[in-house]
Amino acid sequence: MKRSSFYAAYAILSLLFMLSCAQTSVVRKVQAPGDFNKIEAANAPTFLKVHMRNGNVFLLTSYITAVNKDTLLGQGELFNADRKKISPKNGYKELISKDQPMIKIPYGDIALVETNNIEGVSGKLLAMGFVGVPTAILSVFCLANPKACFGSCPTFYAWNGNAMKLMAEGFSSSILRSYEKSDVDMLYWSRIRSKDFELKLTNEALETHVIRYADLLVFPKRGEERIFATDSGKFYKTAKIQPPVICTGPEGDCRNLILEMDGKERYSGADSKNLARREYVNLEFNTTPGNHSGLVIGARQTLLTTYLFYQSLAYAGKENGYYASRIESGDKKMQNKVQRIWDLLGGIEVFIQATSGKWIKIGQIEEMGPIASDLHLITLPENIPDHVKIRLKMTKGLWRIDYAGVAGVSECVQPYRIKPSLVTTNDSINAKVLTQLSDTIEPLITLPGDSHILHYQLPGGSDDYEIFLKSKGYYLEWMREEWMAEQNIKKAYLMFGFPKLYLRLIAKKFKIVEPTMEESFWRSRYVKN
Amino acid sequence: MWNRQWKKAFGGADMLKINQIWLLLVLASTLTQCATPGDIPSGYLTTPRKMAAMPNGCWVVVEKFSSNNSLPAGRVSGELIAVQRDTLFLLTQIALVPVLTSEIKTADLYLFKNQSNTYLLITGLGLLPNIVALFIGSPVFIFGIPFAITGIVTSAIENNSNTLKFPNKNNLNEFKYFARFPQGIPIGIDIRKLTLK
Repeated sequence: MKRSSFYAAYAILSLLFMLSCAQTSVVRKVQAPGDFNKIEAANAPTFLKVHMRNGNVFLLTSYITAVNKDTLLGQGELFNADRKKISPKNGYKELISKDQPMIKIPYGDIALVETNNIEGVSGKLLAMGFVGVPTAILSVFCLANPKACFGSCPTFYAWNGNAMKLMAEGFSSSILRSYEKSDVDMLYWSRIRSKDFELKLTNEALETHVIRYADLLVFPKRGEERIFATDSGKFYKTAKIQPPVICTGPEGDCRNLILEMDGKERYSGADSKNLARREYVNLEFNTTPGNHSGLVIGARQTLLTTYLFYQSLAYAGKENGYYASRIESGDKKMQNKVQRIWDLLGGIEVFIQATSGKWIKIGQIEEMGPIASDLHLITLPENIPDHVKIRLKMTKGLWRIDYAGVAGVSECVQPYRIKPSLVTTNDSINAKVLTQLSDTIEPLITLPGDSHILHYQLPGGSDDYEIFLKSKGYYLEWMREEWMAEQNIKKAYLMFGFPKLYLRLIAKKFKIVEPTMEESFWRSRYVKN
Repeated sequence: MWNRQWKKAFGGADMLKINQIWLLLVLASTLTQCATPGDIPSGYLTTPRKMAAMPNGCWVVVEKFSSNNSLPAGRVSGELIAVQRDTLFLLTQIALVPVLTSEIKTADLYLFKNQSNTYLLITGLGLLPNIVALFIGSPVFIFGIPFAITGIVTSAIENNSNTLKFPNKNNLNEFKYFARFPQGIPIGIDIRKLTLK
């Protein structure tokens, strides 16, 4: 990825420079009339200047050479030696062709034929358009709709066999120090190139990231085995993952969207009257009786939570610092108010249908973050029948489900926890960052555009590994001037004091921006990798 | 105000760095401006497309060697009528002036209006949303930096693209294609009756 990205960027930049670096030039060719026929049709200019022996000049906008090749026929204007326009009829025969007068110019009267080609203009305009049009569209969109622009937590890239791919986002819900927590993300697509495993850590949004550690949790594995994590922090070896035989949502059959972790996701739009309204997705699986099984779900959030988070910052405006300090100083009431709105939106609740027909809740996925899908394992009760029905209950328009399957769960396994052995920044060893990522009192702080490569030494004894990232820290979203203009403390009280009512009142406003949020979000990254 | 808060809360050094980048970009844009002599009639400095269709010759400014070291060098400026053997014929505001090539110290032929300013104008217009963002302190102004660089580079490259320069870039023989009479002064015309555009 590193190399191919570099080449791609280099190629694009080179193309842009090739297009924009060519100076505007007028390439003028002057030929004897006898040579004029040699001009290839493809290079034929849009007009022709015919310099006459007597000093006159024809400016022909359309022209043909006569069959006998001693005459030029054309339409256009004639200028005398003083370059005053005169009638073309003066001294030249005029023919009528398709109602247009054509001037017949004998080669014998012609001194030179001049052609002009303008070069370098279109390339330059193309280059400027290539850079400028997206810039202008994005800037106008972000100025008009700032809550759709990229925001994230630390983003992590790993090698997927072809390129460095965005695979994880760390601690998305840790929006202040008091919400700081560790987060485990599966690097599902990661592939091993050597025992030196690289992870690229970036800050791509207008945020300050505070990172205490970013360690790998590594499991040796064989063949088709995969290891998945439960939300309680346990890891299980799995095999024989069965896809659902049926998957239906309110929109109908959606099975094709969740068969692979391929970015094709099942999602729905938020409710237009109540952002907290729930929906159900029903899944049916064939399982192997007697085996212990688990439901694997790959999902990420939509931008609904991002929108609400930014909206809360906008409402609080200048008072953000005050509220943040109250939360940071341990004001439980305040902390609970923030938590209430997230609780109302909730996670993905997982139910299994008992033989009685009753739906029994067996787990819940709560991982926040709209950037990278993460995989979660929910162990199913023992002695389930060979055909199980599972129901996912979630807030409409809040979740994008990429994958669902039921796997045979064999054993609970413990990971090797590996700390970075080396950190490089701009291809130079960065010992300071390495120390800062060792969970010391001085954590790593990154600002927009910062990027570090973390190197890990994988243990021996296996050729293949399942790799998870365990990171800890928090982030501070930067305030934007556009948000400050929206300061409205009453609405902030409404949002946090009466979140149920607020989620109804804001629904209509959110629906206006919802269709374009995802695309705008990805386009508006401060730094693109 | 927001800029102050941003600096204070999230890193004044970085904000300063970004402002410095913008300042550098503005300075760079001023360096791309080139000086075109003010005595060239506007009809001779058009767009490349109009120039290509212009029946007249292009405008030339000639600096001559001084025949006497104590005298300042002469300057002749006019439409290029023809280049014949060892002579350039320039139609000045007053008369048709023959200039021997051996007397020419420098000669600049202006093909068309310098396009540098046009690209700077396009860049400026394209950056309007980002300039608005800069004034209101929105970080959206950052998105405009790549376009600003592209525009300034394009503008800088355009500088001097509109001139043929003797002796630095071109020889005088190349000038003749941009004369009113590239074939040479036609026999039989009354050169005293030639006028400028």
